Amino acid sequence: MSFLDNYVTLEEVQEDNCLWLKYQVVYAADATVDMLADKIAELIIETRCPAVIYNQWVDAHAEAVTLSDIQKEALRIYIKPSIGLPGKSATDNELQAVVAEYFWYEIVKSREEPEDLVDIHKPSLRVTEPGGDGLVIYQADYESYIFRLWEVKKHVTDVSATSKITKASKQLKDNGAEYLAKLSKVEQERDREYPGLSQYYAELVPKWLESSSDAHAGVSLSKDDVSTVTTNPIGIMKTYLPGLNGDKQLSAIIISMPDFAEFTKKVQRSLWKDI
Amino acid sequence: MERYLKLENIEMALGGQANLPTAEELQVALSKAESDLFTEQGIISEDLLKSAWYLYSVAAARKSLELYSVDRQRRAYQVSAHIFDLALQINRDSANDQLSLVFAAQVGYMKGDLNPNAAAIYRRFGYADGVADIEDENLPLIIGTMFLAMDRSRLFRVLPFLRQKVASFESSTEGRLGVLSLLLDACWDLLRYVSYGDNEAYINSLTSLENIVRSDVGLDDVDMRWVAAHLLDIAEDFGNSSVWSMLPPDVPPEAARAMTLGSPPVLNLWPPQARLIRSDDTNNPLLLTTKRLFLSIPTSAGKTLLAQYIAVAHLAQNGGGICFVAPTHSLCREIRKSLSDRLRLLRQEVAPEVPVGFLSFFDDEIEGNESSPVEVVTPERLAFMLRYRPKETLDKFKLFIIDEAHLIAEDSRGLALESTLSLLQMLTKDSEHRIILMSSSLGEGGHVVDWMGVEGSNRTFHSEWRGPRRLYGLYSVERSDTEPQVIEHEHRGVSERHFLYKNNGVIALKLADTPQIHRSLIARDVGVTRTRPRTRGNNEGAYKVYSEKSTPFYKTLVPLVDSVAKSGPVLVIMPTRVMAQGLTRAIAEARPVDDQMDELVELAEARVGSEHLITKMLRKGVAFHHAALPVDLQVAIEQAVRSGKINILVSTTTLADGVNLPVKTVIIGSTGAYGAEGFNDYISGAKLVNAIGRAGRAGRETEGWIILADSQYNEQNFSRLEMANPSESALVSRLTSEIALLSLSNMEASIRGGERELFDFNDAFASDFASYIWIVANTLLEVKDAVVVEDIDSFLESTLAWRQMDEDLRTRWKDIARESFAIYEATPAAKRKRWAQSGISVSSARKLEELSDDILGRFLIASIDADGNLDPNQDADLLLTDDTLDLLFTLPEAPKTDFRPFRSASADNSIQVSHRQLVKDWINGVDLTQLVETHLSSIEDREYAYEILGDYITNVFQHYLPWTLGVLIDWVNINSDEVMEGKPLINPQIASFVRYGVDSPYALQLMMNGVISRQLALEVNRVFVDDDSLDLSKWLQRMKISGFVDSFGVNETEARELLAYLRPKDSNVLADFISGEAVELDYRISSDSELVGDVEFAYLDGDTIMHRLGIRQGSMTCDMPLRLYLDMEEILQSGLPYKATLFPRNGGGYGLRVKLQTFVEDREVSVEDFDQFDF
Repeated sequence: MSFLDNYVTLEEVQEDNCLWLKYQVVYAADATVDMLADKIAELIIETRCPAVIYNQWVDAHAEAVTLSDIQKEALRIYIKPSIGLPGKSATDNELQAVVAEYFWYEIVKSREEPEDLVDIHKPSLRVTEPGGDGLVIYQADYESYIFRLWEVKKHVTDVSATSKITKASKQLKDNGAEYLAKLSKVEQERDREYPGLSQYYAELVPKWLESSSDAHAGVSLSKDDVSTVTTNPIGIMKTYLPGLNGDKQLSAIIISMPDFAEFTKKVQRSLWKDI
Repeated sequence: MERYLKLENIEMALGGQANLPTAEELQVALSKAESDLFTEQGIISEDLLKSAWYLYSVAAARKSLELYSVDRQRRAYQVSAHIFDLALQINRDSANDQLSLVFAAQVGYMKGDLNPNAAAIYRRFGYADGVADIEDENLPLIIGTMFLAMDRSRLFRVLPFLRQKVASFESSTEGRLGVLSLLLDACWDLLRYVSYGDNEAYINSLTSLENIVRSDVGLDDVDMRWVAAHLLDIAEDFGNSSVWSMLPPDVPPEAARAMTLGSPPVLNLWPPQARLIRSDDTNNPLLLTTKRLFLSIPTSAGKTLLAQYIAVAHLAQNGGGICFVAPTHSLCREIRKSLSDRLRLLRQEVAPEVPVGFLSFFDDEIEGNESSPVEVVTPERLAFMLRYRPKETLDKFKLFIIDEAHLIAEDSRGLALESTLSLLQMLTKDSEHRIILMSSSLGEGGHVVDWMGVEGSNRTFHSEWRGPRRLYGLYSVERSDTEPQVIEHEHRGVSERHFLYKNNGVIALKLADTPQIHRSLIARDVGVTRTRPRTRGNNEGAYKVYSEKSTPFYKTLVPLVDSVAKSGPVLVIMPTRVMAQGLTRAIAEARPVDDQMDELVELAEARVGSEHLITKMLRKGVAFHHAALPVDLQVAIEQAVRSGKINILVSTTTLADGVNLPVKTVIIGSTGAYGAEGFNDYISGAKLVNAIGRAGRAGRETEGWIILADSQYNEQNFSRLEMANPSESALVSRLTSEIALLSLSNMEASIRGGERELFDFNDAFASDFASYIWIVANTLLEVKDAVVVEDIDSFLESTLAWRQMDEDLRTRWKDIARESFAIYEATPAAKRKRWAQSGISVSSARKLEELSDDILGRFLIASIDADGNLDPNQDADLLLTDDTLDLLFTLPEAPKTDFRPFRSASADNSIQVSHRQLVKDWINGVDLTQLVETHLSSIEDREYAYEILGDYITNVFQHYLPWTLGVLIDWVNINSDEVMEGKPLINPQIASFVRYGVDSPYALQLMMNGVISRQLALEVNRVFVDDDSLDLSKWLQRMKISGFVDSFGVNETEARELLAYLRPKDSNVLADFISGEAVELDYRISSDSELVGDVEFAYLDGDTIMHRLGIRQGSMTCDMPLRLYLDMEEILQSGLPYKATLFPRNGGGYGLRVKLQTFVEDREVSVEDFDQFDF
């Protein structure tokens, strides 16, 4: 279950044994745009901040309390990366990229998959970093895991969004190893209850390079309704990642909505409201 | 260490991973990328970067998982770092990506045992501009890169502010802030550990880092966790590689503190250093029990710092005095300075320079010298000390560190050093004395270790490790493809056709340890080649190069030099001075005047005049460097290269041999030169090793470029460069050389024929040998109170030569030695001792003996004429007569003293110069310009005139005359002792006056205590004497730094020399401060000042010492007393946190209390301050 369910319709398309999810944001009334923006803003705060700050923000947002200066200062520290602060806004590009990542995050974490979700890596603070934007690990069986590396994109112009799928696929091909290498180091050091997970993380890069059967890739695109995806994204991905030719090894998510750029501004305003 | 770029090593690192380039392809790509970097082309491919991240992931795999071998992981780290480094330099990504690559490269270099590269990469790409605040998502990487570069000074400034700011939030222990807080704490604790050896802080840092990496907090900040994970790895390594972890139990912590807190800070040891210090107890160089050791380490592997550590540890264990021997005055000066900075932390001093002929530790005239336990001397001075006061020398010095020991094999000085070391070895065989030989070009040094009797399992230590990688280049010219211009030329009435081709400069590049060669055009139109018919007038036959009308090869180097100079300082080595000067002129030609060079130009104008070539070149920002330039100008040029003011320096090989001046690029401008005996290949042996060793500044760059220029491309030259490795085969005693054998045969024949006796013989080798036996005999007599012929035999057996000779040759040299000893025994005791102590050959000593009798008579008559009150100013006139100088200049030891009107003139055409007047003018302080005008005005080529005068000053005034005059004065004073009732007949300072070119005791005092500039010493003396004061030091202390400028016209270097003179000799300020004690100092301040309480040190008007160092409290300021200047500046520049308080003293006046702060809690920082803070 996800809060998104109240705002979207979903079409699932099977292509070459792979799944393509097409989400369309539909607003019932004007006010729902702001409500969705508030929900995404809350997701960002919840994901980035410790519980105490998240709770303060929720209360202040509901106008139940007024935040002290030092509480606001603390909030600002969490809001600033890739979103910016009043008077020092991040670029439109960064802002749209952040919101696109949180759409992807919400969808992936709330979808039910046949395998158990072990790790879903939260959207990074540095959204313009190359080489992949999200890693998800599933447990297929005891000591047996699979992973999917996602590249998340946004698209606001009216030219065909296909070029973005192409770009994302190329980035996965060229820079996937870098992203996985960093996470591989970080995650193998963590104390985990899952058996063999440290070693699994340590071997992510070779698995990716070898297109091992447990390696998967995905492209997620948040776009404005004015553009269309005319070509099958899975087909595009295949040309760049030909080794990932097994069942479900490729996946795509397309989220389409009216005036995406303006929506991201609303998210930003919602985040800034209490600081 | 095996080189990581070799194919088998890359193969091991890659482990056959699919979907990546193969090892061969990767090697080619790396080699190509390195070449692209040089030619500023190309881009690092995605495939290469992908390989780098794969290798990184292999390298970074958790050890406990045992997925890969330790060796494979190390190599994988090395190759990955290399690729990241290339990507940074070639692709130049955005700031964010750049920081990740910098950090990844640093980690790879640190874990791949190439530590200095981690600092180098940070220096080039790691600086974060502007303010970094805790909300900045790049902060973890900024702190991480700063830490891996060990940028302590910045970290000490930044961390307290950041930690305090994080702590000000209620939620400081949770979420990203909580993780950040742990990261900052860990860095602070690690910094305290590496700086002060605080073990508790070390444990705390490990705990903080583990808490980050093992927990689930802050998962969205991958960079923070990534940085923490690697800092944890590296912190764990510190447990084995930090200065503290490797301190042997017998060595007090003060030694480690002098390394970590001194300048430059040594916080963890480089692999060769760590390997050596980890060696077993019998050969750990830090322990007093290690009596003999041979260290073969290239300069770039941290040889200098290692020598410092050995010295520091020796003193900290109260091991006795140290005699540090280095081959040149320049190197001695450099070592003296760096050692002095570190030893001050142990409350110890290094004795100032004392020229040959003077014993510092017996000479009360040298201020404050009695207590200096360390001397840095040339081999000649060590020889002097041993022959003059052997017992005292061995009593004072217990450790002898001999740097650049390969000098033994050098033609002119090798025999003397070998003899001195043999004698030292013999005298200290069974005593507590320690001898450590160091060399950068002797390989395993088997000969040396046998000779020096080094024992134990690790009796020799050899390393070829280096931080910066190497790119070799061959530069040549080729005719361009364009049609040549046809020139109709008339030769003796016959018309012939010439062709004029344009030349292109071509570079062939090869990355060390890889086989690929990449050739590319580096510059078009680098001059012309003109050809003419081989047979004059025959246009249809063969053609040859018309050299006189073609561009000389050296001029074609200009575009190459300009190109490489863009990426760092370049040293061009030319075979001769003329060629060095010619190239410098060609480089300077197209350059505009460089305003930044004003200070150096002023110095050059003052020393050698505005018309001297060096002055003209400096105006354009380029310089040449050779022994004929005044010493202070040489030093200023070396410093300008170090500080980056001068980017292009052209020199002869002497600079590469004599000064530790690393650069980014070394260009060997020619393979050799034609001399009287044909082509001299001058780039070989130790010279080549030394020249190549200058390329790539450890900690500054990750690569060094070495380019050999030759007019024709010859691939074999790559082998010459690559094979130029340190080799023990170079160490052959001069007594076994061909020239020595010839000399021996001649001497034997002469003696057999009864033509001459042993000491009438002036041939260099055999005669020097015979004279040295004399010295040995005398030294043994002094030390043991008796000497017999068997002792002489034992000495011979202790030489390196003995091990390298066959039985027949041994017998022949032994016969000469015995003959010499027989004459020694037959000579009256006082005389033979005196001759031996003089260090001059016996045949010359006999002549000096006669001369000293004449001089004695001359002085006694003058003294009687003056009723016993001889004017001291007359001493020099009476001593330095034409007769005296004529005799001295005809001795075989004398250097060349004639002045030829032009370079190729024969000795017969020498111009007439009054040496007597020249010496007189010199000690009267006449500057070089005036000396040339007065004495060499008939020489048309002024640049040449300056050059030969420079040589004369170095060889005659600074070495030969002080030595021989010192001997003469000593002998005259001994012989007149009775008549004069203990008062010296001749002022002993005259020899020093000649050495330094000054004529007053005050100027001499300054120059013997660190002031290098003769003009400055004279100027201070002039103003001081006019002021009619009595104590020079007190008089100078009353001035301000601006007074130095106004009164003496000093530049910064000179100001520092004067400040060093004023610094109290027993100053322990820095040592006390570092050890955590509160230092209290008298501080002069006007009585109505309100400036009391906490203050900070600051440059009050700018950012250098010339801009008034002082104390500040808000808007109130006060100048620092000059005697405290250097100590306070060191505290300020160390970056260590301090608390300074100015307080009124009970008995009147003010005091300044300074104390080291080791904990952030001691420091009050407001969050508001942070907003102003920019690092």
